[in-house]
Amino acid sequence: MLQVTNLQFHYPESGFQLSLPSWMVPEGEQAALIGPSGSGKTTLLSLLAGILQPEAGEIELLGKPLHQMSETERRNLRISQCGLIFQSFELIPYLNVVQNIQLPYYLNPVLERSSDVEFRAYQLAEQLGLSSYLQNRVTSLSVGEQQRLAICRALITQPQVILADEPTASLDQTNAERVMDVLFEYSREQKAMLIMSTHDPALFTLFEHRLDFASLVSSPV
Amino acid sequence: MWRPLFLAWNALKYYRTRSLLLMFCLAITFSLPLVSRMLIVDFESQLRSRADATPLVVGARGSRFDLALHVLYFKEPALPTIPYREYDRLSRTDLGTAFPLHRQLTVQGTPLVGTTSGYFPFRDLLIAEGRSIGRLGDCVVGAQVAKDWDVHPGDHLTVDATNVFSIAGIPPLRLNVSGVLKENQSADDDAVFVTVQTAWVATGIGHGHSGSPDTDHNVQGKNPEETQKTLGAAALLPYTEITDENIGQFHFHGEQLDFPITAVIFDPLGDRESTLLRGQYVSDEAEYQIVSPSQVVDELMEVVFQFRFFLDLAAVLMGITTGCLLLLIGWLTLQIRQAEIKTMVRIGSSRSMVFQLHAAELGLLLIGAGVVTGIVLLVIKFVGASLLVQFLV
Repeated sequence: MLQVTNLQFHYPESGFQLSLPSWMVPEGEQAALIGPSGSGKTTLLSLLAGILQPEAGEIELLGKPLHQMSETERRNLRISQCGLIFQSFELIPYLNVVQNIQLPYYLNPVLERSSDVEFRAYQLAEQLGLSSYLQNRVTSLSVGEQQRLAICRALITQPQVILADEPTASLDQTNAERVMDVLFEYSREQKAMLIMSTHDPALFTLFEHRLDFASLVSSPV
Repeated sequence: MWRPLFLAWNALKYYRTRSLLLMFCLAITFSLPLVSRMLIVDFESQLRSRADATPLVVGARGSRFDLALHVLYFKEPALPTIPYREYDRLSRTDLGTAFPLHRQLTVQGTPLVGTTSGYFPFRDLLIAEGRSIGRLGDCVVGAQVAKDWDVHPGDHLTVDATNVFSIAGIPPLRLNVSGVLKENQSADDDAVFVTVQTAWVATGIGHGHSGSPDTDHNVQGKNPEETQKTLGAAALLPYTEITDENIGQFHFHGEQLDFPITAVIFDPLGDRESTLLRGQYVSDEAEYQIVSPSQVVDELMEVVFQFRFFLDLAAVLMGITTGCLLLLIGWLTLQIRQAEIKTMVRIGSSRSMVFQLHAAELGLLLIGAGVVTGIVLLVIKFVGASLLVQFLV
């Protein structure tokens, strides 16, 4: 379960301020963060992932109080329980497709790279139509393929929470639908929480929970 | 530890041009001081071992360096000569053993050294094939020469002409290869040896006569080291090859004791004898000089050590420059890879893992540079010092 209470955060450089009095997403359910660009969706996702620390308020994720945890604890929770999908994919150019999928296992010893990790990587690649490109460099992939690869990387650790930052923003409709299908399917099968930011109204109706940022963000001081 | 190594290895492979450039920059920085040090140590050792095995050298007054290098490495063929009489005098003393040296000619550019057969045991030179240089017109070739030219006993070599444009010039002498020396890792490997008398024939001092087969008067050709007879005859006809048929016709005009040699190597019986002999050449009026090659090499090495100082200085400056460049490249790399580092941290990598990744990259580059440096040092170890001796001396 995700429970946010009296959350406060602001960027000193820009004056941007985010306030979230209360928000809750039950385990295994899907939530959409709705709002225009620059409204703070990415900031909230970073706070939920423990990348940023709130100035005030509480965030409880999977029963753990993020606001009380050390940076190392948050990092370990993030890499083992959260699957992050970034808007700009953020793939590593010097690793091939299958290595990029397994990237979390190269970054933190909390994740043990057992023999089934590679098998899972192949399965995910096949599921998302990347099995023909396993040894390819990521630079040789199309935009749609790169986004699907980023989703594979997010799912390889079998996370309990998926935090996706506009994963369909740069995709055509076919690819966008394919990505959404994969994310929802995973969320339902694994009973994993899916929190996704989007400004595409067509996607709003798919989610059980919606958080509209228009009402949350105060203007720069 | 495998995680940062795996990522570093893949990053280095991906940015391979940059990685190779960095690796070679590091290798050059490591190699330069090490190579110069190794070369100079080997160079000194090679110079010293040969110099130490050559106790004293007598020659014309002039440059001590030229005389020492002439005897040690058969350099400076234009050295002023001394008469054979000086060798004769030294060989008659009971202070030690003398060996004459005549080094004015070449065979296909290789030094032709006139001496006695006693030179070989003195230098610990062994005959690998054939026999020594007892007979007029015979030559023994050094191991490297034999290898390069593929010559064996029974083959022939021709002495280089000294004056190809003169009608009255001395015709080149064709030598009979009588033996090949075993490899000695010294200048002797790159020389052709004949008796002093054969060298004189090659320079035109001795020659043959057509129609004058008076073998009684030509004993000198049969036993060239001992005879001092000179013969005169008419109807001079130069020969270019000494054969069994014409050997008796070869002879010398004039007093052999006055014939030129370029130096005498002297091996004294002990320190006392060495001091006594050196005393004979102390006077300013002494016609000839005596030098100890070891002392000459000491002086030469002082110059080389100064040269090494500059090399070391250059290496330090190069190291500083490379260090600055590496810092710049490192900083630029971090800037370029900022997004990649940010992604890693956002996914769940610690800062220390990012540091380990870059440290592993640097470590792998250093290992690569170390391997290249090792190979360079290995190559230099086998060929460098010999090349340097040939180049510098």
